[in-house]
Amino acid sequence: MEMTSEKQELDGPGAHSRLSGLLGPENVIFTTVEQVLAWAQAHSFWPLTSGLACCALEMMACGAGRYDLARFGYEVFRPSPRHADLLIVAGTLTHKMAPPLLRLYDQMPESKWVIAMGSCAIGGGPFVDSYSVVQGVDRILPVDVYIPGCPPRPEALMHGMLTLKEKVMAAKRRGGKK
Amino acid sequence: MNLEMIAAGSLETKPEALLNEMRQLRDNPVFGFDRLIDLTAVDRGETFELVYRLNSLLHDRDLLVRAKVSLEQPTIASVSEIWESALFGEREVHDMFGIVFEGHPELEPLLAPEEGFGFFPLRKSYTLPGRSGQTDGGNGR
Amino acid sequence: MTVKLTHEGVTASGSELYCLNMGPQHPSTHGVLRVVLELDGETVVRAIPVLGYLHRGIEKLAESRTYPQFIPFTDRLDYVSSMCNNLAYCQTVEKLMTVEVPERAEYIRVIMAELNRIASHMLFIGATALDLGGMTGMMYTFRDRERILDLFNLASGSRLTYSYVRIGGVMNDISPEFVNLLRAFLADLPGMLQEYDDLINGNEIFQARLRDVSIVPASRLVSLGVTGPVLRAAGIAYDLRRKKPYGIYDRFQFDIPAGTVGDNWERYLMRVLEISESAKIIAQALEGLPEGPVMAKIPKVIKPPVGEVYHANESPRGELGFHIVSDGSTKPYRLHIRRPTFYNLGSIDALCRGVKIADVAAVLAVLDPCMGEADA
Repeated sequence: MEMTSEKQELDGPGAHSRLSGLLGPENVIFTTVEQVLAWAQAHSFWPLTSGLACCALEMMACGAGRYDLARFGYEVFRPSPRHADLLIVAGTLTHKMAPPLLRLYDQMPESKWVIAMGSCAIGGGPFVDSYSVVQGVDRILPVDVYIPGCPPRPEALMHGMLTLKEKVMAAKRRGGKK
Repeated sequence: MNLEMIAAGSLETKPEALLNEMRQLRDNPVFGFDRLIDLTAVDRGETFELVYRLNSLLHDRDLLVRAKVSLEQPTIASVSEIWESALFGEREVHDMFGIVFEGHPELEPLLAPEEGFGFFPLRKSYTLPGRSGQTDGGNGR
Repeated sequence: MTVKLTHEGVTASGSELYCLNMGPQHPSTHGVLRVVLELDGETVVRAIPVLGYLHRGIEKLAESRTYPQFIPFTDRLDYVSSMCNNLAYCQTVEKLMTVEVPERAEYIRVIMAELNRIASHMLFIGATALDLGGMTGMMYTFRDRERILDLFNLASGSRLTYSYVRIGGVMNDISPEFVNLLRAFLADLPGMLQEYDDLINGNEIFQARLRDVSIVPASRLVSLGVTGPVLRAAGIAYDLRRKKPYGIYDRFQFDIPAGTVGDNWERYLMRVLEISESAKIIAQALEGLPEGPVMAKIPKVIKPPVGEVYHANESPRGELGFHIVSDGSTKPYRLHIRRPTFYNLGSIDALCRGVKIADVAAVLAVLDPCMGEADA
């Protein structure tokens, strides 16, 4: 049974029955490598422990018991950039920290994504007119998802990561690069 | 420098006499100021005023010592051999104001990047560039 | 950054001196702290802290903000204990303006500051366990800390950066629901502490990693300007809430835990014991909580008189002081913050010399640094 051109949701409500329907009696599904890759990557981002300032605490709280990133597959925070595919810039980026952050991003293997968490990462935040603060991490890195807040609640971070998941799945579905 | 001035809580000293007086303040058991709680500076317009906040655990009292240095030649002796907390405190003041502490073993930038800010931020002569005027080597937004 | 090695050539153990960089991105450095370690095999010969990766220029920004506008910046200094920072700053401005804060506000301030101390110490316990490899410890303390954040959320609307304590009082009153939730939390707190005792403190591997490690004489710590639980662990029971009581702290009965040996274990234990003491203070404050307004009658535009003032609080990390120079206008002429973590980090070299490299993470953990405060 082939994948039709209409959108086939591989997650969300009713996915299991749809998947069973797709599989057919031979348990075979026809799809593309990009779609399977997107599905795998989007459902298991491995973030880098790149907390810079206050937002890092909400990131830690999101990984802890009450908010529990693990139920989405995202709780594996890796200390080494070589093992990570998601850079969550949580906190203020200063001029002194920008070269190390860029080096961390360069050390991450492809495919990788960047989330700007908090108003400091989005555009400098309350420190925007300071002499030592980079006015937003998108001045040096390509950002995929912006999560507003000061700091954003853990639920907001979860929503941001789920938005990134949709972005990754949608791009592959369209046949896009990322 | 005597007990009355100590009791008043604050005294002013000349930069040349600073090291000697600070040594006495620590070593003389009558004074007994065994810790330097804080070290900072204020740009008073015509001079830089250094503010040393001392505390005596022995006698449970505080003392504020002020010393003024000129804007053109902001140099003063380092007290880091008397209290080790000055090692960090003086580096911060050096980064922010450009005051040079003679005798400090390692007056490298601490809060500033390795090559320094390029300016001394807390001097009144430096004004913040504001939201639009900042240069950061970015894409110029 | 080029490090001048302590000495060239072969070391006493027969190996070459090796320079290892730790940070600024590192799971155990509690934020963006960089420590350059000089190692002789596994033993640390020298540890050089490099700060400044989170230097946001807060002291300069203060000169272009009005006094009330600066309160959110104090939240973001030591972001783990925002209430304590708010309190220290507001009390400094009130000292400059000689404002009398209403009684109810004073009691609420004490409740909030001590709750924040408990939350900060719970985070400390979890982070220490995490840094030593026990991730489960973090989960338990974070779960319990969430209850305190719920309380703060109820009172101020925020989980982390509250700006709750304002100049002249507090932002708004606490509701009966808050008091009930707080009483329930205090009732459950001994059970939580017992759980940490069983799981973390009582664990013999945890103790073996911390006991008798990194002992530094108290006189050295005093000279380094170290304050807070690290100094108390070395035997000097100096706590600003007792020595120079601010607000209404002189009305409460509580003990100041102090150690004898001054090793990592006692530095850890101090904060565990302080949680119980803070709970005692909160219980007493709830008993004595009077009715009344929560904000003094102060002018709409805050213009302190010309003058200079310094005021310090005992934050969970040590002596947090604000030095404000006012020129009579709405904005401070100079605002300097005496940050406990800044001076505590100056002692890293003294604390790390002679320990094994695995213990460096433990030393950093029990110092409990918060980089937002160290770098300002």
